[in-house]
Amino acid sequence: MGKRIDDGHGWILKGLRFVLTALVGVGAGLLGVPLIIGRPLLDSALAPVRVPAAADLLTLFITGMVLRVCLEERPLEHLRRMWRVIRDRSPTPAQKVLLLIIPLNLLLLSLPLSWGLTELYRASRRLAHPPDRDKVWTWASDGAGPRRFLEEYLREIPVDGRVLLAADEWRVPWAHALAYYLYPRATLMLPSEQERMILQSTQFHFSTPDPAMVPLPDWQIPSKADYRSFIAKERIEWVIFCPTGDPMDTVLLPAGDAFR
Amino acid sequence: MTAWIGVAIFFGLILIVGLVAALVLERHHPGWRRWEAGAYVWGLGTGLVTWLLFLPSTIGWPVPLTGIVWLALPAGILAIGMARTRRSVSEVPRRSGSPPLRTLDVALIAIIVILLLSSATSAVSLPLQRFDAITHFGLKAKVLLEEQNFRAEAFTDPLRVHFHRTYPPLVPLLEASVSTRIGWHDEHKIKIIFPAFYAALLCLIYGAQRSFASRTHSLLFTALLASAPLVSSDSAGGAASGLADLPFAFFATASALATSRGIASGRAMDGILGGLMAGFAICTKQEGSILIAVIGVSLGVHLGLSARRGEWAKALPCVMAWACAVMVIALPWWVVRAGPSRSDVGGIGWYLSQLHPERLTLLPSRILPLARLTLEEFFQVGKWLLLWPLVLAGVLSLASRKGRISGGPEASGSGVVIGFLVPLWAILLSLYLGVMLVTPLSMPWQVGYSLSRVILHLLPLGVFLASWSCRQVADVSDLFRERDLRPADE
Repeated sequence: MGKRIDDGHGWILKGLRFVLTALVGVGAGLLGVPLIIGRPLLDSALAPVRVPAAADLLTLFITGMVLRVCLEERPLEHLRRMWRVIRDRSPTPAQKVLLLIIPLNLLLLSLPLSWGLTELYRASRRLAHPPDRDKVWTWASDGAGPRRFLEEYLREIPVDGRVLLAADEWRVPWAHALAYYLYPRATLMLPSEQERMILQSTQFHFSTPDPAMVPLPDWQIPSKADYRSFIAKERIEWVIFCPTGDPMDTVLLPAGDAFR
Repeated sequence: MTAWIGVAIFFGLILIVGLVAALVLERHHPGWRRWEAGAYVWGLGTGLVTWLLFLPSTIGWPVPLTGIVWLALPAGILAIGMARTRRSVSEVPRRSGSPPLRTLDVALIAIIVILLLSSATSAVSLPLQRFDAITHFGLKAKVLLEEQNFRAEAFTDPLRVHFHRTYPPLVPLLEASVSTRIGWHDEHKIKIIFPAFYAALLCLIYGAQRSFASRTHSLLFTALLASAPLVSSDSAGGAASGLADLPFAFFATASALATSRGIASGRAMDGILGGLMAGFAICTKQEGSILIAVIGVSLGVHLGLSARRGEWAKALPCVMAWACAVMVIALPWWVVRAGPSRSDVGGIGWYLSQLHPERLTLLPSRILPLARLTLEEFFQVGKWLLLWPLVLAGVLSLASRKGRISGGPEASGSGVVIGFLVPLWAILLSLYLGVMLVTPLSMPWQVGYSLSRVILHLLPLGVFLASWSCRQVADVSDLFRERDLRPADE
């Protein structure tokens, strides 16, 4: 890419050159990143990162900057140097792979970096404007779904009431633990042996001298009738139920309407 | 603001206690690099403070969450006294000034700092959300804050005991300590512990690499480790998630590195440091038992081989020191854990109890699916970028004889270090995968739930080995040299 500018040209020219080469990098990124990796693949592969669309341009810009910084305008020279190293020092095949992966990783550094900047911004906003209990739905984009659900719905009911939290799958026990964690006076119930361990955890009542312990029926697979009799016997007022095992499908029902 | 002052006071206590321990260990052999020393200070501080908090529980006394802060006073006086003595007797020549930072160095430092900041703000801006973060750690911390006792009914009464009663206590104790200083269970601010471990881990890896590589080389591999999305984010196991995987990764890596140095040097102090870190690892996650078993066996083999060469007297101090340190740290926890016995779903004992002969016959049919799932995990760019291919290439290269002898780092005892670290890493990975293989739960479920978290424990050491392997061919600063290219072109 272009010749070096002498030191005497001053910082303005240097700055201009920096911006221009970065823009060239952006251009390369605009062409290269979607072509090489592909946005659909990115979306599926980067699930935990959740790069927002607004960060795409930032990603590409940083890619250009990383390219520029790493290669210092002499990509061919660097490739030649790397090739000489590979040729002269006769590395093992694994070491050759290692040397080839390093530049790829360098290019990919722009992704977590842009995500990090985005998350920094979002987290700063969260810290500056902490959500109050009336606006818990604003947490939706942070993946706090089940917690949001529990906060949204449980705050509507007397949290020291008799709440039955039932689940079909062990996959969702954390929602139960979370319910207890937030509302320790809720009475919770789970059917299987593994889940009973968690139930027992959720029945720990802080600073409650006489916690309302519920004798657990010795069920393996509870039927609707089991649930109904339990609700009647224990005077359960509300039922939280995850029919699919996915916490996002959790429903809250008055006890009289559940398990019909 | 008051809450943050409370957090700062507790962090100050950790650093002072860690500094005293580091000064004691380093006294006779000052050789740690600055960043590495900082990491060990943090590790020793967190480990020893929680150990001191836990110790009274072995005889049924309450956990001194409130009183522990007074430990800072004698520890501070001791630290000042030792630092003054050390300065006066130190014979280590001052290092000449470091070379100026290159553009690439600045870029890499900026990346690391941004990721650290993002991780820390993300952690404190979100409440505890992950299942393990709540049930294993947050809930126990809440119990400890309220009851200040491991003999509380929450830990002993079968009707009230919580899930994973026997889970190691280091993280809940740290969280409860921070909460005590704040005054209430603030589940946002207690999470600052985890980004601190993330920072310490990066310092450790950077410092360890500096013994054989340039600043640019070390920074590059540190930045690669820092940038793995799963490591820095609030994904399960990440620095912002409130799970113990990153603290465990820190202790496991520190233990492996310190022990390997002890093997190379034969110094008892390195053995003690390695043993302390292994002990803290046991108190962090139950995988710590696997770690010490593997390191212990490795040290036994090392002792045996040394004895055959007639060098057992050189190897013995380090091995004995390591074993004693592990016992001192882990024994109180083992004593309390062995109290009222009950099944603990998900514990190592529970896994072993599920190993029925009929299940073992199913193992061959599980190998290929596990291999496929594991490979898929290694190539998940969204979790790891391309870090695992890098690590695997590095470890494979070191495992081959040619890869180990083709030039490379001039660090003393490098053969011993690699001869210890590579098998240790490979055996730990195999054992982790072995657990996935024999799990009584559904294998795809188990892999999906925990594989990425357990291989996170091995990632820092893997990156260190990849860095070493790369350095054997060339230092990264030679590949990306800036200044000396220019005259030839102009």
